[in-house]
Amino acid sequence: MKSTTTRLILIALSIIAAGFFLWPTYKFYSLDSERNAVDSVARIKWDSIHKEDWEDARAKRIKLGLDLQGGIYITMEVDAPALLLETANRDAIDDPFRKAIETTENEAKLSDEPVIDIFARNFKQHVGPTGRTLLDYYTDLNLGQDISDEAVLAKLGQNINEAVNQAEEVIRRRIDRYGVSEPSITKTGRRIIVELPGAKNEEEVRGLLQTTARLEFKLVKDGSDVVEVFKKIDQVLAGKVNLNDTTKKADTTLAKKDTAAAKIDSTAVAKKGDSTKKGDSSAKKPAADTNTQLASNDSSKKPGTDTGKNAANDSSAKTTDTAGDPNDPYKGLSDEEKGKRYLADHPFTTLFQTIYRQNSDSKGEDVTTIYAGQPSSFPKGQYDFYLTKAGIEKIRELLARPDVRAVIPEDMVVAFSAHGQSDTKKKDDPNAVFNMFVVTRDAELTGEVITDATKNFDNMTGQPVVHMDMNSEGADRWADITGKNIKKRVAIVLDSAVYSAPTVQNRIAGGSSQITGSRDLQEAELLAIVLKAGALKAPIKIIEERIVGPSLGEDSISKGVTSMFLAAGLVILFMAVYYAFGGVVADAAVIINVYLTMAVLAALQATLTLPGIGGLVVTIGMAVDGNILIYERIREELARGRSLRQAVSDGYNKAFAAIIDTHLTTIITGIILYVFGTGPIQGFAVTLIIGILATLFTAVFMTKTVFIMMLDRGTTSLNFGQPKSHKVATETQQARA
Amino acid sequence: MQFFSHTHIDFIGKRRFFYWVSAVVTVAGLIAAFARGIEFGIDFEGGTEAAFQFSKVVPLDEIRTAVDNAGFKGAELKSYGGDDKVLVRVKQDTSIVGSGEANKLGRTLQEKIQSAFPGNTMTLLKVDNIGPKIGQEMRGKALIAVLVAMAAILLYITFRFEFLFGLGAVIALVHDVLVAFALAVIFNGVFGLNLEMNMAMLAAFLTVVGFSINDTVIIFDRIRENRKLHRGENLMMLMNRSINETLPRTINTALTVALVLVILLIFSGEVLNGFAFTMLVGILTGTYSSIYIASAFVISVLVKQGKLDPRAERDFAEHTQRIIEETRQRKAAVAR
Repeated sequence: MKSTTTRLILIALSIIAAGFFLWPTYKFYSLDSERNAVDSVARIKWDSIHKEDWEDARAKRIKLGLDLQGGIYITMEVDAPALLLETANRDAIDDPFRKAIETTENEAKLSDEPVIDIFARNFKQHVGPTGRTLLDYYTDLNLGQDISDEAVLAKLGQNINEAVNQAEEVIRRRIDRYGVSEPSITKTGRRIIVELPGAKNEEEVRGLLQTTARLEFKLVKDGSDVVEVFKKIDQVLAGKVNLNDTTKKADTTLAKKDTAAAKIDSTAVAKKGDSTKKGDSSAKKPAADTNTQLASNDSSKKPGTDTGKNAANDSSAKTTDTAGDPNDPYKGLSDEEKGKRYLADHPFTTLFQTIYRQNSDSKGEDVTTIYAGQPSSFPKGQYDFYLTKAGIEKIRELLARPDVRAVIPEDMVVAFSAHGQSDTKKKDDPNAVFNMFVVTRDAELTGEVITDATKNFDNMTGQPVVHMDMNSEGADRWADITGKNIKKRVAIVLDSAVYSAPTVQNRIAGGSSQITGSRDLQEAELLAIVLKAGALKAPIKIIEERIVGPSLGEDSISKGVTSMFLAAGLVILFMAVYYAFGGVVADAAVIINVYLTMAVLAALQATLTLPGIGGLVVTIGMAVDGNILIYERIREELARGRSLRQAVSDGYNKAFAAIIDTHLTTIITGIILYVFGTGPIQGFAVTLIIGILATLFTAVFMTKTVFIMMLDRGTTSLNFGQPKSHKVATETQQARA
Repeated sequence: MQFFSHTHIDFIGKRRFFYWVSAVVTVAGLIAAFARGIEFGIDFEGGTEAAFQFSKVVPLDEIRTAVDNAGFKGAELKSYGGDDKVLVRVKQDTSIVGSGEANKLGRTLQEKIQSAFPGNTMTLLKVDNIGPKIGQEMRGKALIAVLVAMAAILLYITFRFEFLFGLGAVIALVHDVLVAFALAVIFNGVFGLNLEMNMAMLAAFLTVVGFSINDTVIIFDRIRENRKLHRGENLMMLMNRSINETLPRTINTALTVALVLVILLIFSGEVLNGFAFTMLVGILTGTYSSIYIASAFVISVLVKQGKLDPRAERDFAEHTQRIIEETRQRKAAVAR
C-alpha cells in the first residue's frame, strides 16, 4: 500500500512538473493568436497590457524549427587558407608557399582536421625542401620571446580562432540590428550557423552577413556643442511629434556606469618592464554614480516610473533656483501637467540620461533636464549619454527623419556602444545600459594599420588591459592624432558600433598602446578581437543556405500534425480493441508519454522540427510495443493458470528485461544519430531519446501502478483482452484462493 | 481478442529455404537498385534546389521548357508533393556556391520561370544551396553513422547475450538496411514518392537499425529465459518455442508500427514520406529477419561447428510433427 502511495506521488509530481514547463508554451500560442487577431491600433493597447506576459511566455515556449515556420538557415565558414596567405609577408611569398596554401585549401574542403594542422603538413611537404621555414614567411607576427616555427603555427592558429570569433561578433550585432525575432547564431569550429526564423529576404540577409566589417577610430564629440544640437533636435520634434504614437515602453532605469574610465596609455613594449607608468594612478575612477530614473516618452503611466513628471519637477526646481526665472514656460501648471508638457517639448532628450563632468576625471552629475535652459547656460565640459535598448531603437527612428538630420552638423554622427552593461548578467536584459556617443563622421584612422591586439593584465593594478600594436605608417599617424587630442576620447568603432571610447592620456609614439578600463577579462578579450578586425583579413564564405518559405512551413505543420493525430488515434483504437481495459490504460500512458516528452523538450528549450514530430511518432510506436510485450506476457501467465495478481506481477517482471534491452538499443542509435547528424536529424534524435526514456516511466511504471492499485482495492478481474476461458479460470482460481 | 497465440510453427526447420529467399531478395534488389542508379539529394551532392508552388497547375513539360530557355539546361524537375508544386534542381558546378551567382540562383530561377507564365503566380516554397564540402562531409558521416550504430549494437548484444547472437543480430541488420535501401532506390519516383538519399533517409535507416534490433532482442531475450526454464532442451526446440511464444507480440507490434507508418506515408507529405517508406520496409524486413536471419544464423553456425547434435534436428522435426498432430487431435476433439 505504501509503495503505491509513493508511486502515485511520483506520478503526480511528474505530471505537475511537466505542466509547469508546458504552461508557457500553451500561454504563448494562445496569447499570440489573440495578438495576431487584433489590428495595429488595438495592438498597441493589447501590448501595453499583455506584452510582458507574451514575451515571458515566448522565451520559455517550445520553439518551432525553420522547417515548421519558414525562415533562413545559413552556414558560413571563415576562409582560413586565405587568412594564412594574407598574413604572410607579401614579398616573401613564392611558388612553393602558394602551392602549400593551395593544397591546404583543397584538403580543408574535405576534412574536419584543423586547417592549421593541414597547413603545417603541406608546408613541410612543399616548402620544406627549399630550406625555408615559416619564420621566413611570417615576419610580422609579434611572437614575443619564443621565435620558432611552432610559435608561428600557434600564433596563426590563434589568429584563425580569433577571426571566427570576430566574425561571430560582427554577425551577431548585425543580425541583432536587422531585427529578426529570435535569431540563433551558433559557432562550431570555424563555422558559424545562422538561423533566422521567419526571415524572408535572403538577398538582404546575405548582404548583412557578407559585407566586411570596418574598424575605425573616431574622435568623440562630447562638449556643449553636442548638447546644443540635441536641444535643436528637441525643438524640431516638439511641435511635430504626436505623443500618442510614441507609446513605446522604455523602462530606463539606469544602472551604475563605469565606461568613462577607459584610458589609453603609451606603453611601448620596451618600456613595459619600467614601472614608471604615466597617468596610471588615475586609472579607475567612479564615473557617473547615478542611479537616477530617466525620462523617456513613457506614457503608460506606471506608478513610480512616470519620469517625465520627475524631470519636469527637477527642471522647474532648477529654474526657480537659479533666478526665479520669469520665463519658466510651465509656470502655474500642476506637476502632472508640467511633466506632460516637458515630455512634449523634449521628445528627444528625454529618451536618454545626460551626465555632465567638468573634465574627464571629475565626478558626474545628472543634468538630464539641462535642455530646458538656454544654450548659453550649458557649461563647458564633458557630457555622457546613457540609455537602454528601447531608447536606441526610438532614437534611430527619430534620427532617420529628414527634418532631424537637417539640424545635425555634417561632421557629427550618433553611435551607440556595442554591448549594454547590466547588473543582472542576464542575456538581453532590457535594462542593460548603453552609451550614446556623438563621433566625427570621418575616421581618424582605420583598422588596417593594427598589426596585433592582445588582452593582458596590468602588472601594477592587476586590471585587465588590451595591448594594441600598429605598423609604422599607423604609428606615425597615431602619434599625431593622440598628440592633438590629449584628454579627449577616441571611439573604437566596428561596424558603426562603439566598443570602447578611451581617453587619450598622452601622445603615443611608436605604435604601441595600452587600453585600460575593461571591466573584466571577457570584455578585454572582445576588445582585442575587435581591434584585430583590420589585421584578420579572413573572408567569410557561405557554404550552405536553406530557405523555407512560410507556406511550406505551414503546410508541413498541418500535415505533420494531422498524420500524427491520425496515427495516434488508430493505434489507440487498436490497443483498446485488442487489449480491452489493459489497452485503455496503455492508451492513457501513451498520451501522458507525449505530454511528458513535450514538457522535457520545453524544459530543454529544444526546438520542435518536422523530424522531431517523426521522432514523436516513433516514440508512440515504442511505447505501445512496451505495453504489448507486457500484456502478452500477462496473458501467457494467465493461460498457465496463474492467479491474476501473480500474472500481472510476472508479466511485468518478465517483460522488463526485454523492454530494457529494446529501449537501450534504441537509445544507442538515437545517440549515434545525434552525434553524426546535423540540425533537423538531431531534432529527431533528441525527441526519440527523450520519448524512449519517458516510455519506461509511462508504459511500465505508470500502467503497473494502475493495476496494482486496482488489485489492492480488491478487483478480481482485469480485462487484458484474454480469451474468456482464461478469465473464467482466473476468477475461479481467485475464488478458491 | 487474440490472434496468433499458442502457435507451433516450425520456423527454424525451414531456415534453409528462407536463406535463399533472403539472398535472392537482397542481391536482386541491390542489382536492380544499382542498375536504376542511386539518386542523391542535394544534402549529399551539393547544388541548388528550389521548390515553387503555382497558383494554377502547369504541366511539367511546359515548366521544363521554361527552365531550359532560362539557361538552366540539365536542371532536374520533379513534382513536389502535388500537381501545383515543382522542385527544380540545378547540380551546378558546386564551387560557385557561396559566390553571388549561386546565391541568386533561387531568385533567378523564380523570375525566369515566372516570366514564362504570366498570370500564374509562383510562390517560393524553399531554396537549398549546399556547397560541395558540406555534401561530401554529410555522405561520409552518414556511412560512419550506420557503421558505428551496427558496431555499438554488436557490442551490446555480445555483452547481454553472446557474441554469436550479436553477430546474428548484426547480419540481420545489414540485411534489413540493404533491402530497405534497395527498395528505396527502386521505388524512387514511383507513385510520386521522393526517396532520394538525403539526411532524412539516413535518419530512417538508423531508425530501421534501432527497430529491427528490437525484434531480435525480444526473441533472444525469450531464448535466454527459456534456457533456464527448460534445461536440457536442444537449442532448436528452444528457439522455435521462443519464436512462437513471442509471435503475438511480434505481429502486434509490427502491425501497429506499420499502421503508424502507412499513415505517415500517406498524409505527411513530401517532406517525411521518404522516411515513412523506408521505415515501413525496415519494420517488415526487421520482423522477418529477426526470425529467419538472426536466430537461424545462430543455429546454422552451431550445427556447422558440431556443437549441436545433428540428430537433434531430426528429433526436433519429429517433436514438432508430434505437437502439430496433438493440436489437430485436440481441436478435432473440441469440435466433436
